[in-house]
Amino acid sequence: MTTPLLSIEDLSVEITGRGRTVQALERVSLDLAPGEALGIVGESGCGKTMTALSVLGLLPGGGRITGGRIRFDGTDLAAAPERTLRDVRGHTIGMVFQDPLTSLNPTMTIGAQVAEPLLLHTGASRAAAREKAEDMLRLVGMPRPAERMSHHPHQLSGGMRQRVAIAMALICEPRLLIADEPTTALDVTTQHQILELIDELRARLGMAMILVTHDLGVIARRVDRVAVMYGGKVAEQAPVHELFTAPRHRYTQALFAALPERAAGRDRPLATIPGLPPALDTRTTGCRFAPRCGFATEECQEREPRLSRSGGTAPGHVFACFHPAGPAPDDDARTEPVPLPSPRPAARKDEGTLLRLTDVVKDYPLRAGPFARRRGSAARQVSAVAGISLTVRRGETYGIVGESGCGKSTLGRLVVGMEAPTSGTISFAGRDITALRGRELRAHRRDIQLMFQDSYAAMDPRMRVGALLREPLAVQGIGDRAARRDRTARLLDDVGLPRGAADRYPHEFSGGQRQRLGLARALALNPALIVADEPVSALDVSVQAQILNLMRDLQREKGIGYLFISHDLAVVRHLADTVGVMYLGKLVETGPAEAVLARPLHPYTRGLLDTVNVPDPRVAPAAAPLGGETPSAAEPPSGCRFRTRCPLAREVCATTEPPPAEPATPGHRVACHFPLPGVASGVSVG
Amino acid sequence: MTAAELPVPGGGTGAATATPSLARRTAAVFARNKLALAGTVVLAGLLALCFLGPLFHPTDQVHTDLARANLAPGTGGHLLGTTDLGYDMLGRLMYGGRTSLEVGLAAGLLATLFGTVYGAVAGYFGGWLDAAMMRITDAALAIPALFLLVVVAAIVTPSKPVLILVIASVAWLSPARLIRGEALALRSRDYVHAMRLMGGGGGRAVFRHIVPNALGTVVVNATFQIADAILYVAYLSFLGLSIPPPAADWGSMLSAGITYTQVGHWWLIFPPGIAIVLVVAAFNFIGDGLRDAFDVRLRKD
Repeated sequence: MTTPLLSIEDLSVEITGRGRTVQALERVSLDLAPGEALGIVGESGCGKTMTALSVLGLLPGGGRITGGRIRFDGTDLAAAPERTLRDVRGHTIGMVFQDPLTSLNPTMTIGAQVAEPLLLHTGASRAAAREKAEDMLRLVGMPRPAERMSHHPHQLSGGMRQRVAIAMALICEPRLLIADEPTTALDVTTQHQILELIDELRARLGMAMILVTHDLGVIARRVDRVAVMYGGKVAEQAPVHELFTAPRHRYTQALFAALPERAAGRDRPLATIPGLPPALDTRTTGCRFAPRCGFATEECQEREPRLSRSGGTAPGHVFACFHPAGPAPDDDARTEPVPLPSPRPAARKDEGTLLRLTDVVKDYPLRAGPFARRRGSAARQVSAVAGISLTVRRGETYGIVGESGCGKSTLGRLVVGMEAPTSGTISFAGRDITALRGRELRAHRRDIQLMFQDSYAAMDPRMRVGALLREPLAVQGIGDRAARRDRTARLLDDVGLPRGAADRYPHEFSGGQRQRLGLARALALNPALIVADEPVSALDVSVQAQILNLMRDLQREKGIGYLFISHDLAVVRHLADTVGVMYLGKLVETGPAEAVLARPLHPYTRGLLDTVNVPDPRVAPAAAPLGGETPSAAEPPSGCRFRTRCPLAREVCATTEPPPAEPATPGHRVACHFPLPGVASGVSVG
Repeated sequence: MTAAELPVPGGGTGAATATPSLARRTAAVFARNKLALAGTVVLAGLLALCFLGPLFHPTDQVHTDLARANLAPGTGGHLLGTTDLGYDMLGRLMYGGRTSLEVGLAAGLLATLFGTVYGAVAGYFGGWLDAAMMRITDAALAIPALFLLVVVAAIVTPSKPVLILVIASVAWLSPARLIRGEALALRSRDYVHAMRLMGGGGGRAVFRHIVPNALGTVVVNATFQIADAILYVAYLSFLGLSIPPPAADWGSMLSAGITYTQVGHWWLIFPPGIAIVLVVAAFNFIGDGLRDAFDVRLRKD
């Protein structure tokens, strides 16, 4: 290997705060050659962001480097004074953060912000800096850069803001780019565009990159080498192909196995990693993954494994594990952590229709002020849901997929009755629920419950878990005090939490546990349908698998139907029987999950599938990923709403709205003038 | 198969103790604030002085005794001297303090209670109800409080209940507006949505979720309300619009003593003046301490 550009040696970081000290990083060593791309992956709290921040000397308050060196280009950044670090930041090391809105200054114009690093570091003249900034905006693919220069961040979409952040990071032509979850807050299609952009710029400018992410899909095709972190240490480091085909560390192996994409089959539960990552505030002996590892022995508890090579691995592949997985690309990773043969799905008692939506429309008026409506009769409105019809059967999982702003959450709110539709009917078990009032509506509430994306926000922080779980029963006047207590205990059993949890407050639980509590509360009234709005999108892969398995088990046991709303195709594919793809308030394609996701008929569905970041570097990149951005729902395109981004659009698409049709198989409907032939998608996610 | 995540709070055997209640944790944080603790001690001292003091230092506060008028502190067994009408000053301080504290506490609490419910209802239900209810408070706020109090006190003969009602009728406006703002934010919280989706109604939302979650604001505001109410009592009686003699309170004692400042009868002014300052400051310190305590009580420790 040539002289590394960045060399981190035995870096240890401690963070002190609220009376305790957390060993955030312990003896982390990483090398990065000039022009090389290194991915750092791991679950939240494993130290990956901390590693990136220490390189820049930007540790959070109370954090300090307690040992080790960070050699960058001949200087030790760990020991360097603030002056040196300031000179490095944004100059020779560029950085891109997760949230493009908070990392841009809302009061400064785009042009001024992009030019700022240049003025700070190179002493370029104002005019020259502006000119360079405009060039940079053009380079990152900003349409009409000259015009955008005078805009403010709020006038741009999330994807465009991230482009601005990248332009800022690259304007001084750094030798190293640190990107910390640069696409996590973005939609799949935008995510793809940004990652492509980074790739392209990197190739052109010859930069090295550290890409920090929790998303194995993102890392698969974008980096040369991957470091897997766990509990503040590097667990495994390998060239990307090597890592994805033959992970050696048991943690890496378990992490891959938990991906919904790697599930053995739709009827099999996902492999999970029991427990939680360590809290790092107590010193442990032995391997940090040992408490959650199915292969741990006494040796793992007592001695700490060192990063080392072993026979049969490629050069540069090191791991810290006493009982590694076999060196051959083995398939036991996929099947072996599934201990129980999953029960056959119980024959559904009743295949009858549970929920039926007919031409449901929801418009939100856009008003400037209290008198605006009177002024103009042509009041502007946002067309959030535009004529959706769908049917959910008893015990079925109906998955709704789409990008943000497509109206999928509004649809969920309409179904649970949080909002009333502008027109159309929603009927549940044969009754029109939009007409229900008072006592009847109250009784109906038992049948449909909502599982929130953020269960913590949906729980009164003042109430103990017991009181939270009893509340639905109290509201509906079910049972006496003793019966409710009893029910609470059984609900906790159902979701796999100890009964003692009833005496705790919600803030004492981890994200996954809160999601279990959210599910328990939704189950309290024995609903026939649970609307789950992105229930696992905030969770780490291993915990996500636990929740998905739990949802599936409870469905089998109790025959609940789910309306499962998600942006994640892999999750929907794993759980859903039927899938509806939404675009700008319309269902563009519906049908059995296997059919829709394997042989899409609508160009949008195909585009979505092709843009997904498959966590497998062997999968070739898709030919035609979706370009452009979703238009505003306040001014939807005429005719087919997708035509502005559709590669197949013709004149008729702009004039006539395509009616739903079933050109391929019965039950597989698509609303498109020129449906695809329905051949298997180039990318197989399952 | 879904093995429960291991480090679950409450995951132990039956011996695992429940998390201490929020009230207890709030008290623990409050106790760490020295100034707030001092306020509590001062307040407790004043309450003990006014309500228990007369048991140890009984005095006649009804009959005047001009023979023993205007005695300097320490003379004739009068620790704080006597007034121009011959009442024992220390005894009068206790006696008057009862009126001030009783009226102040009652008016402050009444105003907080009414204002909280009023504001929570307006904020939670919103729409025209909120608009109507808030216009009423705006209109009432437009009238200077002291002016209103003076007019009302001049029309009806003041007694303790009347004084409480009059002061509360002015003081409820500020908690009402404060809690309405809080309710506006709280009503769009997911846990309120969740409760409504269970089939719960407005009453449950207001009294089980909105008010309890605004409790921090309510309690902190109540301490300031009580301090204000005590000052209002003092204003009114200083202007001679309070409960008529021989009843007394700290404000009327100040008013009576002010005539004699020129002749150096300082003991008629300082005791009630210092008492008013102490009690108001104590309530303010307690309020500040409570605010901090409520702020941190939901944090993970």
